[in-house]
Amino acid sequence: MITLSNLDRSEALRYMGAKAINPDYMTNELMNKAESHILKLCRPAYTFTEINKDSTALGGEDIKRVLKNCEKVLLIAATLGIYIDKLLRKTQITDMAQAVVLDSLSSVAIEQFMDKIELELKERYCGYYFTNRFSPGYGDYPLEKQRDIVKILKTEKKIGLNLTSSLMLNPTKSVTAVIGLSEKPTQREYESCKSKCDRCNNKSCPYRREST
Amino acid sequence: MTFKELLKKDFIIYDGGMGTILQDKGLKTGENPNVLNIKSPNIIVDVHREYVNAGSDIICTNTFSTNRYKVEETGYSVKELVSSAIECCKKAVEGTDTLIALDIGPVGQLLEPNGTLSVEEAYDIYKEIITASDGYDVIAIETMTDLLETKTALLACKENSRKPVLCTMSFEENGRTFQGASPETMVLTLESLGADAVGLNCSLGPDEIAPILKRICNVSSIPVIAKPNAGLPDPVTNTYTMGPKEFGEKLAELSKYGVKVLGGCCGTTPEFIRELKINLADKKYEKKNKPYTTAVCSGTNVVEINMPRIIGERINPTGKKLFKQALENNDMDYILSQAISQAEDGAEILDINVGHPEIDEKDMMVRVVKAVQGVVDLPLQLDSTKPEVLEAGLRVYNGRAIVNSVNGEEKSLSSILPIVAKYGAAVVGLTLDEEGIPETTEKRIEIAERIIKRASDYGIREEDIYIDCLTLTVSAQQSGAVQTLEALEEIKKRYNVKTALGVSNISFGLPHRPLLNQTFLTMAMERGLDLPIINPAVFGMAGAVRAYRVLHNYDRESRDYIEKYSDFVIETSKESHQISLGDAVMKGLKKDCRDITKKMLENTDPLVIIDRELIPSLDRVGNLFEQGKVFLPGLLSSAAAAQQAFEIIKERLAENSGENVSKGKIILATVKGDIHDIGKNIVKVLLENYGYDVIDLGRDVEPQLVADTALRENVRLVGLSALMTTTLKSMEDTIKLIRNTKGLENTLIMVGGAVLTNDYAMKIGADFYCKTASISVDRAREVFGN
Repeated sequence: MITLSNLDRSEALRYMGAKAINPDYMTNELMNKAESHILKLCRPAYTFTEINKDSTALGGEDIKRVLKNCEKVLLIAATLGIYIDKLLRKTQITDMAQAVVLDSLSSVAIEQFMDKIELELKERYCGYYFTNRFSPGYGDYPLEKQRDIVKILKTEKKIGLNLTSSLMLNPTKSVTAVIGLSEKPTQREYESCKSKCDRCNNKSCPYRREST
Repeated sequence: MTFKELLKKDFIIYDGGMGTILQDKGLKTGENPNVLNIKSPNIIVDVHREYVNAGSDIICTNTFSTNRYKVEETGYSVKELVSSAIECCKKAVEGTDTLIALDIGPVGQLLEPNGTLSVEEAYDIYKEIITASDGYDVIAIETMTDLLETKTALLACKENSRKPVLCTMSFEENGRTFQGASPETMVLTLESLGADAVGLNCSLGPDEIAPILKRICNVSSIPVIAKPNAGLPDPVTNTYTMGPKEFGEKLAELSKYGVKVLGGCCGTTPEFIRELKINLADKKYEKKNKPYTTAVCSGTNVVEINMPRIIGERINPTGKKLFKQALENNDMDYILSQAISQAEDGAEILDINVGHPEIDEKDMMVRVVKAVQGVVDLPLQLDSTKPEVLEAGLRVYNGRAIVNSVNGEEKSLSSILPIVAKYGAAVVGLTLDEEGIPETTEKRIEIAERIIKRASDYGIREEDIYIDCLTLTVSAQQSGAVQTLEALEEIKKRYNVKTALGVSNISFGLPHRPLLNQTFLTMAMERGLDLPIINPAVFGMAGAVRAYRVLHNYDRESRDYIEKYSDFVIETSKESHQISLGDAVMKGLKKDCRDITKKMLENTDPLVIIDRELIPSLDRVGNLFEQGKVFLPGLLSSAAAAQQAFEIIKERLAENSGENVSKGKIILATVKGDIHDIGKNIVKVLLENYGYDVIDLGRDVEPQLVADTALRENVRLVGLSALMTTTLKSMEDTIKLIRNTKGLENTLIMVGGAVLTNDYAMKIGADFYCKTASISVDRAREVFGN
């Protein structure tokens, strides 16, 4: 079972739009509290399966490029569970400053969870090279594909992950992603790109990392 | 054969998996398996028939994914799919005694406040399935993870059908469902609402369910169901770890806990059921009878009334100006903050009273119950004299509630008790009647007896009645205190009831009230008070209860007491150190902000405090934020601290005359379909800080509600937020509606959200695009010219 620890604070600061790296005293205190709450209340759960390249879960040209040289395709869904949402709801009433920190740090937590899942899958698929994770909404991969993904993975039953009619994952701190597996160390798609922000089409995203 | 007759057998055998078998037969993953009832009925009939032949006493219709949401894309109606499913079952059971269960699964949308599905809509969805046909013998509500959804489905069954209802939920290895229900909250809630059997299905295999099943059997007095999977699945191959033999042996073994109904779920086949039956043949059903302890629960948390338990009294407008204002202004956050702080102060149950002549009490009760259970885990006590208000609250409540209250008046008895019985609630019984509060002990006992008797006519257990002997003000009737205590003690002695008592009334009109309250509370507990209704924030009150629990050996090893008080230091009332209000705001010191503002108000005009102290220091923090020297949490900490000062000022103004410091009214809403509202809430905090009155419509807001509110409240500025590209359409719709509403020609609209750009904002007709929260403050200042 995967457990989370040491959430990446500098990443959380970036989500909060901070321009500096060292948090002020108040923010630091809030981070400490938020981290212990998140680690106590999160119930990380994930599920995955192998799909074919013609699966209805996939869509758009970008993903085709990513998977071009891959023999296997993994479809993954992960969530931190419902308690984080309840905590966020509650904290937004009592302390917005704490809520903002919680929100950012739990977004970090779900990404770190995905990183750990990937490591676990790398053990299972020993000998394969993994592409970057690709999620609906990246590039031209349609958000509508979330519908197929949750159905194929039966996320509702398996990890308690639902989709709202406006295609939001629920619990909110959840991720779905596709990873391509290749036996040959083929050139990784987007390898030339400097960060995952560079391959995203949302140029005005407030969380966008500056290109260097 | 009926379900009742089946219960005479030692064990009732359910069927096994359907979906997993259909996948083996070539059904594609992601396809709705229920359409096969119509497209290939022979396959379905065959599977059912094999289960009948394997020995199933009950088989489930192939309707797990048949509901309004899930059948939308199949092209068939719920009615068509249910009817055809029942036809398939009928063919399979022909000539046997096997019963047909209408299988009902989760809607597939999370209920509010986690998702956007309302309890009322969920009820309609379930009603549609239940009334689609009456060709079934029992109803099986299965694989649920949300207790409120399960309860809503059960209620729909009970109100639209007379068939027995079997409810099972799916638990994870940590002993909870995904939505947080525990075996105990499930049993307590569903059993009191009238389920005919309760238990678990899916998610785990026989090995993993054992501890959970044991817990269910420990608390259930109705038959218990176990329908596990064939072990755990491999994610890739989708095969399960357990074979029929092992499954049959292991599951049959679990019958020792007192399980009555057994079957299988994913990965099991008729072969598994055959093995199960063989292994059960030499076993006997043993029902465990446990002494009944009255208890109430939220969706996640059971509170047994086996020692004095604190009921928080603060959610009640009586005598509270600010609370009344909050009700009139629909200020849900104010009410919720009262709920959260009481929970933090040690309340174990919360009383909810929203009776106020200016508002629709029923509608408010529903909204408050929904909102409060979204942020605290405590059971609720719904407090009203109106039966329709109580019933409306009970329908949306997640768990088993207390109804506060019934009294000895005939009108009250005959209107409140049926509701208590129907929803399986516990009830507070006040010892008063048409003639008012009796002065003597005997009269009070008499009324209590009347309430107990009438309640038992409705099938309400004595243990679930909490008699309140009523506290009289000792300064008015000095002998009254003793009468109350005598009645309390005597009633506890004679009956199996519990007792509740609101305590604070005792000291009205006398100095140093906390001392009298605390002493009276301690006296009452010693005479047998179970449920003191108090303000848990008052140190001595919650403290007296905790101390009592230590001294009476309830709080084992004084754990709770030590946890609460090990770091306790008596607060000295030293002068607050030399710090200005501005500094306190800058440093985010909430308590200092309150104290300094209180002091300043003694000789300073409230508006001067706002304009000369609060706003300039907020501007200062704002500038530092813009320069990247203070981060967003720091900015919000300052805002929250300033908010404390504003609260003090508001309280003062509410007391004197109701003068207003508002700089203008602004509506904020996260648009329809969008549940991410943190951005909107950040904007709200900042705007309120600058003295604007924010009407917060929440998230997932209908365009019409925005327009109506703007019109009614004559609002000049509306702020809308949307996080996702999919909800930008709702934002556009909302803007269009405002533009097309007569009377809103002068209303300006500002928008914000992660995926928005200035171009897009202009394209959909907004007046302002706010890239950050602080820009919305600038826009508001422009609009209102202040």
